[in-house]
Amino acid sequence: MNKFLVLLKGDQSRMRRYGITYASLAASILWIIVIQLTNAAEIDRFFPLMLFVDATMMSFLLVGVAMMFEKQESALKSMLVTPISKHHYLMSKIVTGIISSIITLLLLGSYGVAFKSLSINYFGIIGAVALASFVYTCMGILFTYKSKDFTVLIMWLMLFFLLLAVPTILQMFQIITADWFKYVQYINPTQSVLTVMNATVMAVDKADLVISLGYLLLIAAILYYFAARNFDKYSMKELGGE
Amino acid sequence: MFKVSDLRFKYPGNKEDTIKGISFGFDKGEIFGFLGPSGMGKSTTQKLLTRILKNYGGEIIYRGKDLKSYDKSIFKDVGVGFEMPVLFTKLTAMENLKFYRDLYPKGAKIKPILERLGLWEDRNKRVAAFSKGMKSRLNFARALINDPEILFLDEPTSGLDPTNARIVKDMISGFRENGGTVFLTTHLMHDVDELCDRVAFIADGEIREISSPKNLKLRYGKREIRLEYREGERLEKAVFDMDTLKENENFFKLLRGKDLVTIHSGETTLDEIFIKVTGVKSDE
Repeated sequence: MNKFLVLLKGDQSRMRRYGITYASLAASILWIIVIQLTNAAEIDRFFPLMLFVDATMMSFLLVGVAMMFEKQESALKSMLVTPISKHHYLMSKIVTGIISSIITLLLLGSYGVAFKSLSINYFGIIGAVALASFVYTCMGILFTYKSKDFTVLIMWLMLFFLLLAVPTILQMFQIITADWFKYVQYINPTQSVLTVMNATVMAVDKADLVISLGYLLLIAAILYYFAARNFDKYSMKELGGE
Repeated sequence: MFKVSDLRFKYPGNKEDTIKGISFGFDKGEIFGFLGPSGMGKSTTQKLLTRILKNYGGEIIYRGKDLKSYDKSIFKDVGVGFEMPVLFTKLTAMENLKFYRDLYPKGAKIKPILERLGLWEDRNKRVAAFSKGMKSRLNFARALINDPEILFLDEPTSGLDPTNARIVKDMISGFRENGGTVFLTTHLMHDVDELCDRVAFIADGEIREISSPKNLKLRYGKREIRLEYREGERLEKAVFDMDTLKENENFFKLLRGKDLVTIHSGETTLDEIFIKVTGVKSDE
């Protein structure tokens, strides 16, 4: 079997054993309950918001937890003495995050379409979720490098939620209405994710969509570059080299 | 197989080099022991030879080519056994080994390895439920999973009872008999004495001694014979120079006329050599 597929299969299987997959499914069930409680007329507007939390914060958390377990078991040491490259290792983690987000999308989307007449651009939303998950999984990897244990990782996640997700949610619900804040939000990748996701269920400003999409693609490339660049330093630390 | 010349390495942030210009080599089919007190450069050297640490000074030649010219495909022929278990504890022994085996282009058969190590019956148990000794044996199995040509082993018998330590040592010897090469780091001088063709002692990042265990014991030992014999109710001792022994009438008189209790040569042990060469006790 191709080495990348072996890694991917291994990551999926460990996500199940560590209970991460089930935690993610439990979160999906909670979102399904929220969909059920949402007024059918409003479902198109709120559906991207539900997905956006999963594709951003959950992606960050899932990869962080998985890597922390590996760290605790010193399993990374063993991976480093195999013929797999760091790109194989990182891409396996990223694709695992994307698969998890797409499973959530399929569960929520199927329920929404079947029971709440959700109208959605299927290919668009899959692409948007995959891109968002890519960006936030890379962020999760980078901040796991900096976290010595679960507590520090959770602190980073809380900080990210406050700095990136909360302003976007407050703006969406028009609690923050200042014009200048809209411009500040252009540098917030979470806002870009929401804009791209919104475009799959409603009309959005074309310029906003192009800027958001371009920004997410750029930030994905930059974050992956740094995740790969800092991997050697992280692995050296794991091997007791620092 | 490996030729190391003037190897130097400093960890980022450290003022001094951890490895200070060491040179040594070992050949295919050899078990080479690399010994030294903790924190003196043993594991760092192993990490440099296995390409885990880079940015070193000097030269490492592996199979006639600079080690820096190899990519990660080098690991298809290299097995590494870490001192501490490096296994996925939520997976079973079999799942761990299958996962790692599939990462290599060629893989060993799992059943014979686990049977030999006495773990076949427990193959479907999660590693979390394994004892320390079982984890240590599974760690050794993990090092063999790619059917390597060279093994880097760090304390392979650590945490094992004498019976299982014997099995692991026999497997290491068998690996060498089949043409394999072993780079062994350990504190257990008895293992070194039994397994290694040659040993190097490292202390403070410098190699202090390289030779075969036999030569070292002869060189550091005393060329003398010590006798203990009974003289009435008392126990007496006598020491004779080995080089003039055949002309020493007193020695033969004692042999013929006294009840001998013990006879020892002045050959020393590797433990004593370790202390002399490194200045530190071998269990530190």
